[in-house]
Amino acid sequence: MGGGSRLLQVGLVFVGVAAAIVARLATLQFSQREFWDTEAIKARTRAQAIGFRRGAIVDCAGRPLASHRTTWNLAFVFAGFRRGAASGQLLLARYLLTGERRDVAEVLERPQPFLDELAALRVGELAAIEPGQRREDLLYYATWLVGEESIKEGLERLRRGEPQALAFPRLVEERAAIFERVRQEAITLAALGRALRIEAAEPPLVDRIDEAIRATDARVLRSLADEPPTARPYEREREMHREFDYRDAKLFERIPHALAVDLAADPARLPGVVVREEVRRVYPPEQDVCADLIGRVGPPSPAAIAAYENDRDERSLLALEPFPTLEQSQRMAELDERLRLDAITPDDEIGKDGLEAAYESQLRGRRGYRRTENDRSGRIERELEVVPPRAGAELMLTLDAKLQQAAEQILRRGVAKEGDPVRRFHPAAFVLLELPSMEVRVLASCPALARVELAEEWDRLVADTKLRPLHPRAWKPCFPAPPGSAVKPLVAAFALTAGKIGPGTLLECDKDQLRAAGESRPVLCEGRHDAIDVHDALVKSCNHYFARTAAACGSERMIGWYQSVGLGRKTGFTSAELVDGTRIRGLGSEAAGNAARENGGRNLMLLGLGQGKVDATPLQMAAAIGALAMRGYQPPTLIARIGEEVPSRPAIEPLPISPAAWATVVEAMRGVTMPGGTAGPPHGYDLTGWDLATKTGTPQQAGSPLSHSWLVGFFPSQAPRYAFALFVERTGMHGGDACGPFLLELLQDPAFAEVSAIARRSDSEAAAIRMAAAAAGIDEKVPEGEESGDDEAPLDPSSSPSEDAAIDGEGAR
Amino acid sequence: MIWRRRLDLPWQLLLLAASLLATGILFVRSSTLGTQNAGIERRQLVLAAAALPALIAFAGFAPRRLARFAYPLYAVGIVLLMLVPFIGIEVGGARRWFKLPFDVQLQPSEVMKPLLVLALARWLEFRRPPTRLRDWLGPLAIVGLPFVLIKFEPDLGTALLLVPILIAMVWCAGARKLHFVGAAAIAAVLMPAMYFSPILKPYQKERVRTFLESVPELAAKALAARRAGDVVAADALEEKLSNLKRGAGYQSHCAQTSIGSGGLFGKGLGQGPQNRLSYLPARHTDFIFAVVAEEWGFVGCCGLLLLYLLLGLSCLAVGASTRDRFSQLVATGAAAALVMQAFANMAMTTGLIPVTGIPLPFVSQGGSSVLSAFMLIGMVISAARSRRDAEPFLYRSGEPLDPFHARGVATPARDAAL
Repeated sequence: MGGGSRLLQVGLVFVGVAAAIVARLATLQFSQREFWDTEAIKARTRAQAIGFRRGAIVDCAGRPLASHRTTWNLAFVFAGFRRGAASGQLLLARYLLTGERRDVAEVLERPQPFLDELAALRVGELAAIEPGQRREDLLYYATWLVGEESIKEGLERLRRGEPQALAFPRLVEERAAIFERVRQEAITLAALGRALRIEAAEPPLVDRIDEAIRATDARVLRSLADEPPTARPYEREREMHREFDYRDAKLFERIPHALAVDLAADPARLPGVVVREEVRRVYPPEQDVCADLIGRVGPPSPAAIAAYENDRDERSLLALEPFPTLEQSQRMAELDERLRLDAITPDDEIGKDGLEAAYESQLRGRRGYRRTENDRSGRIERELEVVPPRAGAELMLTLDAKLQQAAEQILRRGVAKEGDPVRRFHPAAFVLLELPSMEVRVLASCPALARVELAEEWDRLVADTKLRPLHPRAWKPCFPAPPGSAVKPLVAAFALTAGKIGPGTLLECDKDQLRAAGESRPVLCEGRHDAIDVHDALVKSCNHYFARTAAACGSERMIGWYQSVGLGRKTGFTSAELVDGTRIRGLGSEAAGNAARENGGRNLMLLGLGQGKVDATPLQMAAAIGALAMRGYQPPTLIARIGEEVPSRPAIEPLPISPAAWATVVEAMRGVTMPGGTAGPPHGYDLTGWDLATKTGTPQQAGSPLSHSWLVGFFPSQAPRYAFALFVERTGMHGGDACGPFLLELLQDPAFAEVSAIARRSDSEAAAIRMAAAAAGIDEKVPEGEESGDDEAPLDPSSSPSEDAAIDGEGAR
Repeated sequence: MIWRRRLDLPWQLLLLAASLLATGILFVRSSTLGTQNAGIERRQLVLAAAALPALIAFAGFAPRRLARFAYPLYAVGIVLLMLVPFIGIEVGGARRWFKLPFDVQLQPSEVMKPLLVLALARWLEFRRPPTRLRDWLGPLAIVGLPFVLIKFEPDLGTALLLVPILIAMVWCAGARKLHFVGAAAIAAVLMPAMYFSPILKPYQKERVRTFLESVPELAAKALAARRAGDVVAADALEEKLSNLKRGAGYQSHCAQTSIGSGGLFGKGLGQGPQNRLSYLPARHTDFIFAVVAEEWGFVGCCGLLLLYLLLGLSCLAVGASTRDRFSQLVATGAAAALVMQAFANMAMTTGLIPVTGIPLPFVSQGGSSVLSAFMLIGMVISAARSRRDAEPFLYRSGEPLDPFHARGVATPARDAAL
């Protein structure tokens, strides 16, 4: 074979090798391109979540009831400290050498012994240290101290060096530089302490750092104690530290913004001491109203966290896929999107109850993220993508926090019984609706719990079964009360329109009790008003009249009327299905179709008095009386706006009330607060200064011998702008006596000045009314016996207390 | 033929070498831009300029004169290698360099390669083709001595590069195919044995182990195990994968990531994120090919590969056209030294062979590498002076054109003719 041909063969070998390399390049750059691209992107990009702000809840004037606050906390990350700070490196090197954890304060004050001990270490001594990770870690700390990364040199010295040679000769060379680094760290910590104005009595930052390290050590030791003994305890301890050392330990809360910016701009100044932003829900104490309605936020449920972790695990699995299919890529993109933007993470705040929970989807914003390209040391090179967070929608309520606060304060004052100058506390409620929109302006309950109370005394509040403070009386009482005589204007208006009674229809009120046909139990009606028309029956709250009217109308019609004004159904006032409904229960045998008994049945008679099988919340009563005022029912609403969107509302359902009937009833209702009315003078309070159309109610309920008190109405009487319901629980007092003073205080309160001004009569008008009353000789107080004997009937002995509100108590004015 | 004569022209070698050097300068700049090594390409230019006299000197010598100096130069190289353990400086746990003035370091093992080519050519020049096993002893001894010295620096990668030089030159000297088959069989047996012997250091064994694993395949296996619910196997595979990516296979993984993400045309010069953001270790030295792959893509890599291939073939063409055996062997040895080193570097970077610390001739930053490459090119230019069609004035009067004729030593061609 010639030399030329051999050279050719060498050339062919070159070509062959080159072909192999080209093939390999093609594999990497074409077949596996996607895998390596992903690897490259994974290596150099970091995605950082940007927190969103939860939507605020504001009142009708834009006052925040629930808001958010961004704070900056100073946190300590042990891993960052021991890896990056010279004092941390000395501290850990000492620990690895001696097994003894010293204080950071000590290192900062006197670093020399720490460094000297390490610098004096001989190769032989280093070799004698427990082989494995402990020795390698020591090599790392010594290497980092001199500002290098690779421990190769140290390993080589360990392998080949003389036992008597210094293990870390560079430490001696860099001694001055290391001391300078420690000094700078001490200076930075001291400057931070001054900037944070830490008082002399408070622990300084360095002590807090030591405390954080001790806490981490203790956590590691606790975890190790639960584990079986291992042959390599340091390795296990190190693993535990890797788990715990990256967690934040709070050093100082709410640091000034300027300092936060300054520190965040230069994280290398003191490695391990970092600034953490925190956006948290806050409920401004100056508008701390309706805490139970607004609700609260809390950590996500275990199910939500589990769902998040499942998604994360699935994403991790898909990320391992070297050549993902189209479906897998799509799924990965979907999971990425969800995890980055929508997932509920363990750190999130979730609406737990009230409006916070009901409107979670709207209030919760969407997380944003920032994807950056970082160099190997972690420094951000450029921003690749920024998806800004989307704040949650603002929830504007129709509530007026100012009025609400004033109402809650007034209700808290309690009720003064006649002859008792001390006002005693009673659970109560006041609801104010603006007409014609039926927007809830006030939804005050008493007791009204402050957030502090809810947070600190939760167990006591839950255990309090007597007062049941966790049941706001205004919209979610534990046992809704019967409305009593407060429903009589509705019965009158419907009956008048239906022609069952006329404005001049006189009924003889001459019996103490009424007995339905075939019924052994009577309906008590102790007061005798002789021949009485509908006007007087309303003004004097004649039970006899309305029991007979109800009997005449029949149960089906009565129930239909009640339901048409919202009794017995949910108001849906938050459009979020918060439970606020009450009921009208079946009327038993009367409803079963026995016409004779139905028409004259006892329960039907009681229904006409707002007793027995009907109960209502103050919110429902305010809505019902508002419906009467407007001659049309629309469910009340608490939500004015969700973000920019005004929620749609059901159309107004016109009520079958004729103008004539309405005029008759309103005239009668106006008389209630007039002299001679059940809430008119002389009752120790005088509401004649306002043009009100009202009605009192004094129903009874099972389980208590004491009656409840109601006062419902609207104003101004002829062009209603507001409807209200006042309710005081178990006072044993007449509705007017218990509620009248409250209404007077509300109307006179400066907070309600604008509201009450609408119905305010001029002084001369009021004086004329009083004079007319005096002339008619009705400025004397109604005799006590008549008042109490007229309306309050004994409890029905057949009713069971377990039927909660199902008491056949009767009578109300 | 005109094309052949043109291909044999030494300026073609110079042009190819200059192209490679220019590519190297570009990528050294690209890979150090914005780092503490920024501007090192100027230093590379200075070093290249400093190495140029070596090229001129070797090119200026007539082949016979080079042949006369072959053994003394080899001896100098050996002495330098022997001095390394005593006066060499240690970097990264290896003692491979001499510290020279002006902050220049010299790596004797790099300089040894051209000197070895000369010595081997000298040895094989006047001897019969190594058709018997004992004929291998001389060449093996010539290569073995520097091999052992370099191996114990330790620098196994550079030491192993002496083997293709030996093979190429002995093959061209007329060795029997059977010997190569036998050597290949012995190597096939010895290599696993070597793996289990203490000759390889633990980190070298680790490199071999990681080389045998493919990251994408391991990732697929881990995923399959995880999906099958085999948690133990999946954990073990993921730990292995993590070790491959971050432990012993870190450099290789980084290089393959850069290459794989380059695609067809690459990201553009200076635009490779893995390079720019320092995710690629030793990117201006041993892993510079990964930078080329990332920034110029498949097309750029093939271009670079083609340059090396042309350089090698040009050297071989020069060898084929020479009239004396020494020149032919020198050209072959130089081609093998240059091309096989380049291909070994590329193969290492692409994961075809385990990672070894060998630079890419002309392209990687480093004075010793450039000096060595220039010496080899100079030797090939010198060899070109003995081309059959070369002008007679290039030769000294009285110097035999073919030493085989002069000494009566049989050449393979002569044997065949006889």
